[in-house]
Parts: sequence; structure tokens; C-alpha cells
Amino acid sequence: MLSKILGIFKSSKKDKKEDDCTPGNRLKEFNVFSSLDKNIEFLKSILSKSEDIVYRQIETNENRYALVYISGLVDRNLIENQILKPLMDLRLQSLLTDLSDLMDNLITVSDISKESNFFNLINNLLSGETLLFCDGISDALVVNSKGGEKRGIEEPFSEQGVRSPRESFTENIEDNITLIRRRIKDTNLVVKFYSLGERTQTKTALIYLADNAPEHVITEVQERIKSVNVEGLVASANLEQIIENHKWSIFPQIMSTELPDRVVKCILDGRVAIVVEGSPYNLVVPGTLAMFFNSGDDYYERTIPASLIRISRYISFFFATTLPAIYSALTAYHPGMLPTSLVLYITGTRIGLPLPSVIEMFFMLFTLEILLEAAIRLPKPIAQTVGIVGGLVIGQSAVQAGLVSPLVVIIISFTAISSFTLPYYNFAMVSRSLRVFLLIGASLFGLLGVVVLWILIIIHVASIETFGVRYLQDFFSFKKEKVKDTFLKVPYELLGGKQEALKDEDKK
Amino acid sequence: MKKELNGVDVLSFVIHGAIGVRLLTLPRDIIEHANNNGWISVLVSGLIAFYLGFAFYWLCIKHPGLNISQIVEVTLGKLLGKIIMVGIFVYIILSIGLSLRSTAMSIKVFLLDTTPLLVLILIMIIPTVYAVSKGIKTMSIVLDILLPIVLLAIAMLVGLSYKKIEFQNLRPVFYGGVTPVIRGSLNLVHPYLGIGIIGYIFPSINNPKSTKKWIFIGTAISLAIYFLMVILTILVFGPEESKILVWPTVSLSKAIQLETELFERLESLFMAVWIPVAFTTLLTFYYSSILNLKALFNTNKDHLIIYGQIPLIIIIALFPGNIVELYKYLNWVNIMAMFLTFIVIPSMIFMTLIRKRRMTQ
Repeated sequence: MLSKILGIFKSSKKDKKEDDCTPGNRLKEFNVFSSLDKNIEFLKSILSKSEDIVYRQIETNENRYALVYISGLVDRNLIENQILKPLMDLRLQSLLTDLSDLMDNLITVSDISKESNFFNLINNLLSGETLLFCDGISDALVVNSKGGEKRGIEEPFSEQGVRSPRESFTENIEDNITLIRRRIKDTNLVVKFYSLGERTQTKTALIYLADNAPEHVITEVQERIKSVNVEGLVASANLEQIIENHKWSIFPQIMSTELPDRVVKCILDGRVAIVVEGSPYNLVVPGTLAMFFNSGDDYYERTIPASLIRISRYISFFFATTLPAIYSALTAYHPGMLPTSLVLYITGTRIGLPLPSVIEMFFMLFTLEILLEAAIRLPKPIAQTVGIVGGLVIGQSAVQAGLVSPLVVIIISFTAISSFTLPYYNFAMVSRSLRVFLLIGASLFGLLGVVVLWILIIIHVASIETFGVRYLQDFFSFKKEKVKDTFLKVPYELLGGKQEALKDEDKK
Repeated sequence: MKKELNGVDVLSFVIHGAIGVRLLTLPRDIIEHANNNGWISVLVSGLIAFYLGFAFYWLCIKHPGLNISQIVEVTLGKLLGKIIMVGIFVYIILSIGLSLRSTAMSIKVFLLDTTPLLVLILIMIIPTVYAVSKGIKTMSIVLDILLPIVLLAIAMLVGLSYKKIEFQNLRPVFYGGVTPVIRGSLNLVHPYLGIGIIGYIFPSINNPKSTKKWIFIGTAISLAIYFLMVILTILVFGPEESKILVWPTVSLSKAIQLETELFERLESLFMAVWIPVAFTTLLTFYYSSILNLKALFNTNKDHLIIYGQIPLIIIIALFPGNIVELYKYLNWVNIMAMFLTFIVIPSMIFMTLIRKRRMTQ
């Protein structure tokens, strides 16, 4: 029923699919012409809006050639040394009769293919490959000359670890796949490419272990990716929102990370990784709740400390969401539950305060949200200042001015810190949203509101199903294998394969 | 129906179905009849509990793929079956409504005094309807997650009241004879009939034979919990005082005083922990009611059935004028439960046996 209400937000742009006469698709009807001039003319007419396309014409004794490429996307060295140089070499002229000769004997590039359809040729051109046309031949050579500036492999930006490797993914899809390939050397590793987004043609790769990942997950992911129908896919986060099951839920159902070792561990567990060009955050599906609480570091630490830290993470998540609500509920509705000295102390600090306890809490929560948002977007020199401003000025001075009580400030700061113990940053957003709802529930109904809201949250989380796998699949059905990797963490070789757990749902 | 549950999921269904809001008031009812031999009553009622567990299991194994309402129709004939199903519907609806009222009243007394009853009732209905509309797998996961809370609440109560126990309250044993003990044990039929939820979830279980062990364990745990509650009440308060306590279990938590000054007024905390327990029982009964109505009217229209019962339940919940009337109606419900347990179910078993004999001939 809720989905019907939310359905009014769906736009009716879906009928654009029927329009088959988009300029891109019309190109499919054209093949390479025999005449070189006609080819160049055709290309210039199609790509008339781009002035950065280079048309390099070569004339030899035997024939005329033309090289077409986009200057920023190619590796100039490769074009100059390995294409132009052999072509212009006078000694080799006589060998040239056919395009196949060029391909097999002359051009010293590792990745060449022949192509005759303009649709594919232009796609290749826009991806950074060089086209080689020959006068009199109705085929063209596509030379892989992808180059240009790109970021090197650096340290991770938002996911720190003490003992985990420091390489993180970059925006280049080949580098990312390389980082994964270096860690998994198995013939069963499947890498499948897709181009998503009409205008962006973003290269996307699906990576999984064929004998490990469950069938239904693989087919489901493939179907969803094939059915992506957007104009542009800019980052992996867009893809994440498109292929999710429950788009309106607070809880993330797909994990995105920039650490290769995390992705590799998930692939070994039987999940599917999605690498998107242009985004250093790669997706892993299906994402279950336990994944968001496990940090890569856990697997590199010893059993008992790691288990204790994991348990403390669950507890701190609970505090991060519920502490303001519990405080409001207890002080506003059930002051009898607190020890007498504490109640007297709270009353003492609240003498002369203008706002009721609940409004105070909302006010401080709002301030916290503003600080968190501002902290992300600050330029570096100001960041320090805001830390001081936020902490001292707003917190301390508000207390001294008599606007809020010091206990509220303490609780809010403790809440803020607890929400960042989670290793997965986006899950902190979950606790921030839940905090607000729980506070509203507590201010309306006291402890009853808190408990009922938690029950509602549990029901919601229990009903989430991603790609055929239950969100909470590591937590229910009292089996001992389930505890091995959730609340506790057993030594590495006893962890076993999660693929049995993922396959649990297969029994239908 | 898809077979989504495993055998072990039955455990949480059984415990949640049996342990409900009645646990708060039950010791008083039993002790009223059986005086300080109430704990023997509970042990005797254990026979009823195991009989119920076994009866449901057996009936569902013999009729695979059908839930208990459909089995009623199959074994007792269409006309009689429909009448019994209407009776089951009335029983369940009254159960839900009155339990809801009981929960709301205890929340009102111990947690939020000034909130009107209707609001409390609505608050309890919302998660129930939400959970039921999400399907049985979700329900099973929710019950699994909330199971430790039930056990935690009981453990907390038991662990913290040990100081106030006086063993002499147990004597004299068997003073009034055996009959009061039996009368006391009959009070427990209504809670134990909550085990009947397994009759409705059997079609969704993967390997039905493996549930036998879990039904046994679940029933044993529920029995143990009731036993602990009753015996604690007797030990701490003594029979005379227990008879005048309206909510003996909550009064038990009131009697607890922690050494450290961490929490006062523990009964509010106890009530807060009790809310999920009450909620889960409501959930299991609600689900049974939905499946019962679906079998009665032979339809698959979820929405009308799920949301249509809400007004009825609210009316029933608001109907009793005060707590005395509430207990009068709960007694009627208990009598209905006894009727179902001791007349309807044996006849179903009997008919199934006859049918089997006819088929093998």
C-alpha cells in the first residue's frame, strides 16, 4: 500500500524507450565507404559539434590513409611511434596491399581489430581508440590507444584501517579490475562488461566467481543491469540506486567500498562485485546487514579482541540511534526511573532553562546535523576553525548562556562519536535518520514510543530482501554457523564459506 | 504457499504464542484456586501443554499442506467445520481484543498514566498490522530476533528477586486437596492454546518432521517460564497476598531493589521490556486469525482481511468497563479455549484416525 502512495513520484519518462530514431541508433545502418574522402566527410558531419577531433591524413606512394582520434583521450606516443612511424616508413611501403596486412604485419600495437559499422566505430572513437581508414577499402581498423591523464593508485580516502592494505580503487575501470585480479587468480573468475547510460556509455564490469556465487543472485544482477535505462550514469552511486530492491528504505542494501581487499573478500564469499568507470567506489551485491558492521580490519586482528570490538560496534550503533531518545523519554515521562541523585542533578541543571527538555534535545540534534554537514564541505584551512567553533562556541557557550543543559550537550556529543564507530560511512546516515524518528517517538510516547519504534524498525529490516537474499540472513535461524561471523569473529580458517548461507534461500 | 521456514523457526513461534500478556496476571488466577500449591498446578498443566503441542503436530503431519482451519473442515465436514471456524474466529478476535486491552491497561498503569486507552491500543496495533502484511518469513525473523528479549526479561526477574524468597510460603503442600490444583491448572489452557499458531504455519515449513524436537523444546521452555513466574510469586509474596495483587508479575519487579543506584522503579523498565513480548503474541494470534478467515471464506484477498479486523478489535478492546469486567470476559475466553482443546481437537484426531482406518481397508 505504501508503494502505491510513493508511486505518484514515478515520472512518465519511460516512453522514451520507443524512440528508435535517436541519432545514435541510426548510425547502425551505415557501413564504412570505400572512398576515403567520403568516410572523412561522413565523420565530420556526424561529429561536427566537436572541434577536438583530429583527422590525420597520410599519403604514401601506394595509397592514402587517414587516422581519426580525439586528442585528449589517446596516448600520443603510441600513435606517433607505432602507427605513424611504420606507415610512413618508405622501406615497408611495398608490403602493403590490404588492411589485413596492415593489421598483421605493420602496426605494432597489441590490441587491434577490424570494424565496418559506423555505430561501433564512433563508440570506439569516443572511448579513446584510434580509427584507421584506407582509401579503397570498406573496412576500418580500430587501434586501442587509450591514454590520457588519470589518477594513480592512492591511499583510501574515507575507509581507514590499521592493518589493511593501503591501495584503493581509482576512477579507471581497468586499474580497478587489475587490483582485483592481482588478488584472485582463478580461472572461474568471471568478468563481464556492459555499457550503461545512453549518453555516457559508462563501462561497467560484473565480477564474480562462477562456481561460488549462487545462481539466482547472478541472474538477478544481470537482468537488473541489462534493464538500466537512463540517460547518464555518472557514478556507481547512481547504479546503486537504480538496481536496488527497496529504494525508499533508510537502510543501504548494496555495499560500496574503495578497498580492494574488502571486495575480494566479498567475491570469495560468493557475492558479485560491480565496477563502474569513473567512480572509485565499487559496489558489492547482495549487501546484508552483517557486512556493514564488519570492517576489513576485523579479519586481520586476533579473535577475542576482534569479537569484543564487534560487539561494541553493535552496542554503539544502538546508542548512536537511541541515546537522545532514551534521555528525553526518561526525563520527560519517567523521571522516577532514574536514581534520585541523578534526577536532582538534572533538575538542578535545568533551573532557569527556557525550553522543555524535549525541545532542547531537538535543537541540539539539529545543531549536530548542521555541524556534520558543514564539516564535509569545508575547505581545509577552515576545517580546524569550525571544529573549535562547533565545540566550544556552540556547545559551551550555549550552556553558559543558559539555553541548554550540559547533560544534553554531553549526550549529543557521545551520540555523534558513537555513530562514527561503524566502518562503513554510509551506515552513519542510517543512524542519523533513525535518531530523529526515535526522538520524535520518545517525545510523543516516552519509553513506549521508543520500544514500539524499535519494533517497527526491526520489522522493516527483517522484510528487506536484496537480490533474493534476506537482509538479516546472518542473524536469524538459530544455527551456530551464523554466529561465527556476526557478533563474534572466529579464527580465519574456521570461517568457512558464506556461500552456503547465501544459498539458504535457494531451497524454494 | 512457498516453503520458506525451517524446522527450527517453530521454536520462536511456539514460545511467543504461549508467552503473552497473560503472564502478567496469571499467577493470581492460579493461586486463587490452588493457594500455595499453584506451582503444582503449573506442572499439571504441563500435561495439557504437551498434549496440545503433540496434537497439533500430529494433525498437521497427517494432513500435509493444510493449515488447521482447513483440517477442521476436512475432518469434521463442511457445515460443522464452518461453524467451528466461526467459533475459532470469535475466540481469536476476543483473545486479541482483550489481550490488547490488558496490555494497554498495564502500560497505562506502569508506564504512561495520562495517555488515553484508545491511543495506546492504536500504537500496539500499528506494528502488528505492519508485520503481518509483510509475510511469514519476515514474521519469523522478527520473532527470532525478539526471542532473546523474552528470555532476558524472565531471567532478569528471576535473577533479581532471589533475595526476597521465603521458602516457608510453599508449605503446607496439598492442604486443600487435589481438586483446587486441577482447577488452577485449567486457567492455563488459554495461554497454551497459543501454541496453536504452529497449526497455521505448518504449510510453510520445509521439512515438517524436524519440527517435532523444536515443538517439544518450545513447549518445555514456555512451561518453565510459567512455572518460574508462579513459583516466584508464591515464594516472594505468599498465597494470601498474591490473591489481592492485580498484576503479580509486575509487582515482583516492583519488589526488586538493586544494590547499586542504577535504576529505580524497575517495573517501568520491566514493562518496557514486556512490550515486545505482548506484541509478538498479538502478532501470532493476528496471523492465525487471518489464515482462519481466509480458509473460512475461501478467498485470497489479503487487504480486506488484514485491515478489516482492526475496527472490530478496537471495539472489543474498548468494551470492558474496568479491569474486573476484563477478567470476567477473559474467563469466558478461557472456557472457549477449554472447549476447543478438550472437545474439538480430540474429535478431529478421532475423525482422522477413522478416516485413516477407512482408507487402509
